Amino acid sequence: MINSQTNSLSAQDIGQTTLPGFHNPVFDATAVFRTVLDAMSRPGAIIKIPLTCESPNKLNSSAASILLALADMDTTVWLSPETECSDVADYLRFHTGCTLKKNTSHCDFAVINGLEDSDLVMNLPIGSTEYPDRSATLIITVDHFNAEQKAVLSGPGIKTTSNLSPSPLNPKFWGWMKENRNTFPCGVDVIFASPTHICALPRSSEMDI
Amino acid sequence: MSQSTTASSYNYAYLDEQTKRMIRRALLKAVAIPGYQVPFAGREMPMPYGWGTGGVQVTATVIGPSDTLKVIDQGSDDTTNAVSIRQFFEKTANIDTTEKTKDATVIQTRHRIPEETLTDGQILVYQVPIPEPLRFLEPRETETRKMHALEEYGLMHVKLYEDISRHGHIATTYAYPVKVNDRYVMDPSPTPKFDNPKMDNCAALQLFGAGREKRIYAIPPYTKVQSLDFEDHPFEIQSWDEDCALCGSKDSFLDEVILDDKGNRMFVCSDSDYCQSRRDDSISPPVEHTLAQAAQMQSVNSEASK
Repeated sequence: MINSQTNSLSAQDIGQTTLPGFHNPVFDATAVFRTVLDAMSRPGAIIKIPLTCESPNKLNSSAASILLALADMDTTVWLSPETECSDVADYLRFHTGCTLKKNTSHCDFAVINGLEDSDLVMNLPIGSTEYPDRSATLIITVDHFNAEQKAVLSGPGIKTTSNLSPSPLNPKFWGWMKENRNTFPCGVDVIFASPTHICALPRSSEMDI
Repeated sequence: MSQSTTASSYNYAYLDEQTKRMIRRALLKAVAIPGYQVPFAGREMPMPYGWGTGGVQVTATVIGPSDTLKVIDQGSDDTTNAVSIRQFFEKTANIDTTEKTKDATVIQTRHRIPEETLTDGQILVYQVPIPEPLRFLEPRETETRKMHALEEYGLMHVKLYEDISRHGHIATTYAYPVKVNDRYVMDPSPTPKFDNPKMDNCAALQLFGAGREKRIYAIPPYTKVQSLDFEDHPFEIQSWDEDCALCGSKDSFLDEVILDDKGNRMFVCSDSDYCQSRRDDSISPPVEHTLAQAAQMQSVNSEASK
């Protein structure tokens, strides 16, 4: 919103944060993107994010760096009730210029905590059969990838099979991910983000739980 | 950025950061939907369409300072297109370049896949002129979109069948259509069909950029890529009666080189790095010998014509 008096954006619109973004915006964004590309092309592989971000409490460093690398004024972001707070909103608006959405149906990126209910992301855009790319990417924040419950993945990017074991994860997500796979080529691509590592589940992966 | 000394007025790797983010988002979708063409806002590049603007944009988006880049044009490292693109990235991205396939982390290619088997962690970037395999069969984008959505690829099989009825075999020799992960029919860019089997279950990530048509698509590593064919007319690759005249290779893709106007010609590997490394390892007769033979043949021919 442009202030008609001063003809400039107010601090409230662009967000205010004392937390820094990338130390080196160009090379850090490239490095993080390459990690995400690597993860997306090798589903189930657990890959270290090569840097750390000072991020707000409710958004871990990996999830923050993915959004700093990929979100900008052309994209919209939805934050789940658990991750949504003024710290996170300001941080993202200040560093990326993205628009934050109140509902899931029109967002490019969505962020949710692994413990939350998967029903919250039921209405994420999955694209159409003619344009399956018009879909959302869901970032699920977790603590680690050593869960007892494992899903065995196969499909593009996987030589034989690979394991997916994010933790902690609301059990309802497994059902949601299975359903998500059934809509291929439409669907949501998922990136699990622990504070230091990421692991991707693109819509193309077959999943055996 | 300051890393680049020769072209400091440009952002690192030429493209601005917002463009890179847009292409990066498209690339991630492309990888998640193997073989599907993702539209992207292709930028004008400082080279004409048809010279690899799509591939250059993908490469510029992907590379970082720790990468080593190799660029090939029809398999060769030293043709105009390859040299100029390599220099472009040396200048704008201050990047290490190589001619060795095994040393490269990112390989940009026009119309060939290197003979040497690609490995985990490598990225192969293709320059694509016409990304839509159905385009010459159906000119309307709205219709081809629908055909992909409905997996309606009968028309492509009819085209291959017409080849057989006219020529007795499938006469398509390059841009031979493939089916990726049993779902999308994809144009492998105008690589010779000789290279199609290398795409199947390839360890490297394959990214395709079409600049003029503004499409990006991808094949993740270890993905099934099947050349379309019929049970009674199975897919076959080209073969030659000759071996490479320089390195003696019996199983690489050969280019025909005309030596004179007397009908003399020689066949050499199209992959210049592969050919050179084989000669360095001297598995085969040295170059001078073969060239001398060619010269001898030439003189015999000219004697005969007198």
